[in-house]
Amino acid sequence: MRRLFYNLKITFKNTELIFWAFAFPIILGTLFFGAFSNITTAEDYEAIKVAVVKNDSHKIYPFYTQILNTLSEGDDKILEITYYDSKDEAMQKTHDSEVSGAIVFEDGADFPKLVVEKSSIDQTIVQSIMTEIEQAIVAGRPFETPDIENIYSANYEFTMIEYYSLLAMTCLYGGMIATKALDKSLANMTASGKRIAVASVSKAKIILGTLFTSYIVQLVGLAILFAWMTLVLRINFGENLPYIILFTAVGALAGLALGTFVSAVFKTKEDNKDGILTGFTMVGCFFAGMMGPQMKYLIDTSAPMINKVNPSAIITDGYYALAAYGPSERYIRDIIALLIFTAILSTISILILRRQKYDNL
Amino acid sequence: MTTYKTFLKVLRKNIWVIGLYTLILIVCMAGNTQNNQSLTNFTAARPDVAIYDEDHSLISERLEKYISERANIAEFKTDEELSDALYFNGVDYVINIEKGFGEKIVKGEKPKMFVKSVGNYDAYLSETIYARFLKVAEAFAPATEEDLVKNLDDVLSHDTEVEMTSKIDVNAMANARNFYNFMNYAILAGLVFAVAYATAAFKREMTKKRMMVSATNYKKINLQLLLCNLGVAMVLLTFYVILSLLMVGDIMFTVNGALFIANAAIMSVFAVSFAFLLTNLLKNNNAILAIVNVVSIGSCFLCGVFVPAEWMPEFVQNLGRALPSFYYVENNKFISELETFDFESLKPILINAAIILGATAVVVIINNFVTRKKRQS
Repeated sequence: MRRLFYNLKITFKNTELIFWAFAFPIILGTLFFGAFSNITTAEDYEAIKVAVVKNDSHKIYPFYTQILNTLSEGDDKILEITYYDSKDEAMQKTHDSEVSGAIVFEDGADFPKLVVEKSSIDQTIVQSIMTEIEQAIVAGRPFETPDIENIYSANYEFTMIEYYSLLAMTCLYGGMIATKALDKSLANMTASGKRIAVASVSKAKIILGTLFTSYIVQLVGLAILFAWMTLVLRINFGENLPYIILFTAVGALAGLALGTFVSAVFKTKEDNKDGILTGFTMVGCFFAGMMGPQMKYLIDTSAPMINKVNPSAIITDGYYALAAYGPSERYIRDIIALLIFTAILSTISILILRRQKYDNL
Repeated sequence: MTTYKTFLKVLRKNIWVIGLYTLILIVCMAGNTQNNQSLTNFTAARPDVAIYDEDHSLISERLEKYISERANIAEFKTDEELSDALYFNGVDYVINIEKGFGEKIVKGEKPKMFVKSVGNYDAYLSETIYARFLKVAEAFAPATEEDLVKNLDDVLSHDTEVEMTSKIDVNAMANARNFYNFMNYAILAGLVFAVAYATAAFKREMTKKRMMVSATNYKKINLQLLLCNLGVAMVLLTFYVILSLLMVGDIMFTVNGALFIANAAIMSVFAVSFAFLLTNLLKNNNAILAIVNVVSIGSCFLCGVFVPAEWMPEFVQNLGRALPSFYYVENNKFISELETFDFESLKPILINAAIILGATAVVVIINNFVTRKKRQS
C-alpha cells in the first residue's frame, strides 16, 4: 500500500506524463468538439444558388420559370433562384462561385442549357432537376410525386468516431506511464533500476506493483477525459455506460501491455521509447478514423487486416459497435481481440524481463 | 563542417519521424484521391446506391439499369456491412424493391417505396434520380410492360445539356489541392519535429558550454544551424514535390503546380522558424513532441485540412484565421481555381503568402527576443 502511494506520488509529479495522459486528450477532445459541433447541420441540405438568364421571348421560358420558382419557395426550398438580365452577368456570378450554375435559354434551342464552372454534386443536382422538367415536357403529361418513405435514422452521430478514437488514443498513450514507470525498475535504464536489481526484494513484485499503479493512473486519466467529454462538452455516449466502462478498462489494459512491451523490448533511450509509442499510437489512431471517420471505413473495407491488428482501431470499433448494435457479438469480439493483443505483448515482455541479470552495467 | 555533420547525425536518428508523417500523407492522399481520369468536360456526380430487388420484373430490372448508369451500385453481404456503410457514408441511398412492384406499376397503382437515405447531398441526388424513374413510369401507366418500358426508354433518354466554361482538369486539380493540404500536417508535424529535435541537440547545457568556449564564433554556428534547417526543409520539400508528381501527375508541370510548390515552400520556411523557436523555448524533447502534436493536429483541424472549414462553426473558423495554416490552405484553394495569371487574379494568393511570411517574421522576432533574454540571464 505504501509502495502504491509512493508510485502514485512519483507518477503524478511527472509533468510530461500528466500532459500525455491527461491534458493532451482533453485538448484534442475540445478541438474535435469545436471542429465537429457543426458538421451534422453542415451536411443538411441547403438550397443551391442558381442564376437564370431572363429570356421572355423563348417559348418554354414561362413554363420553366414557373417550376423553378415553385422549387425556390418555402423553408425546405431546393433552389435559390436569382434572375439576371444579361448572360455575361450570370456567367460572372458562376465564375466567382456565387452561384452553382446559370440556366440559359438560347433562341433556337428547344430546351435551356446549364452553364457551370465545375462538375460537382450541386451542379449535378441542378442538372437532374432540369432534366426532370425537360422529360415532363417530352412526356407531355404531368408527373406526380411518388410515394417514397425514408426508414433510416441513425441514433448516433457520424463524428462520434472521432471521440471513440480519442478514447483509444488515451488508452494507448497511457502505455507511456507504464514505460516510464518500468524504466525506473530496469537496471539498464536508470540508477533506481540498478538499486532495485541489487536489492533483496522480489523484482517481480516491484514490477507488478509499478504496473498496477500505472494502470490506476491510466484509468484516472480516462475517467477525467470521459467526464470532460460528457459533462463539459455534452457528448452523448449512449446508455450502455457499464459496457463503456468495461471496454475502457480492457482498452487501458492493452495500453499498459503496449507500454510494458516498448519498455522491455526496445533497448534505447527513454525519449526514443516515447517516440515509438507516440508514433505507433498516432498512426494507429489515424487508421482508426481520428483525422476523418471515413478513413476507418476505407481501411476496414479495402485493407481489413490492418485494422484487425491495430489496437486503436479495435478500441474505436468496440465503442462504435456498442453504440450501433449494443453489447453484441462484435463488441465481445473486440474485447477478445484486445485481450489477445494484451496477452501476446505481455508474454513477450515477461519472457524478456524474467531473470534479467547483468555482470556489469 | 562539424556543425553540419553533427546536425545530420542527430537528424539521421530521427528520420523515422519524417517517414511516419510521410506515410500518413500518402495514406491520406490514397484515401482522398479522386478518379484519375482527366476531367475537362462536365461529368455528373455519381452517388453510391444499394438496390435490393425482390421483384425481378422487367420494370424493376429497368430501374436498376437506369440507376446503375447514374450512380455507383454498392453491394453488401450482411446487414451489419450495410449498417456500417450507412453510418460511414459508404452508401448514400438504399432502395428496396418489394415483390409485386412491377405488377403494381403496370396496373397504374402507386406502390409505396421504402428507402434508407443518409440525408446528405448525394442521397438527395440519388432520390431525384430514383423519383424521376418512378414519376415517368407512373405517368405512362396503366400500360403493358413492353409499352411502359419503351416509353420509359424514350423519355428518360433526354438529359439537359450542360456546358462547362472552365478548362481546368477538375479531378487533377482537386487531387493536387488535397495533396498539398495534407502536406500541411506533414510539414508541421514531421518537419518541425525533426528539425527541432536536431537543433535541440545543440541547445543542451553541456553542448552549449562547449560551443561557447570553442574557437568558432557563435554567430557562425547559428548561421550554419539555420542553413542546416533550411537545407532539410528544402530536401524534404523536394521529396514531397516528387511524391506529388507521382501521385497527382502532369498537373504539377503547370503554373498552378508551380504555385502549389511555392506555397508549400513558404509554409516550410514558417515551419523552420517555428521549430527554431520551439528549441529556444523548450529544453525537453518530449515537450517539443507534445507541442508539435498539439500545434499540427490543432492547425489541421481548425484550418480545414481534415474537415472542410465551411463545415465548422463560425467562431472556430475565426479561430483558424489566427494560424498560418489557414492562409496556406486557403491559398491551395485559390490556386486550384486559378485560370488566369494576371496580378488581379494572383492578388489574394500574394496577400495570403505575405501573411504567412509575416507570421514567420513575428516568430523570428520572438525568437531573437527570447535568445537575447536568455543570453542576458
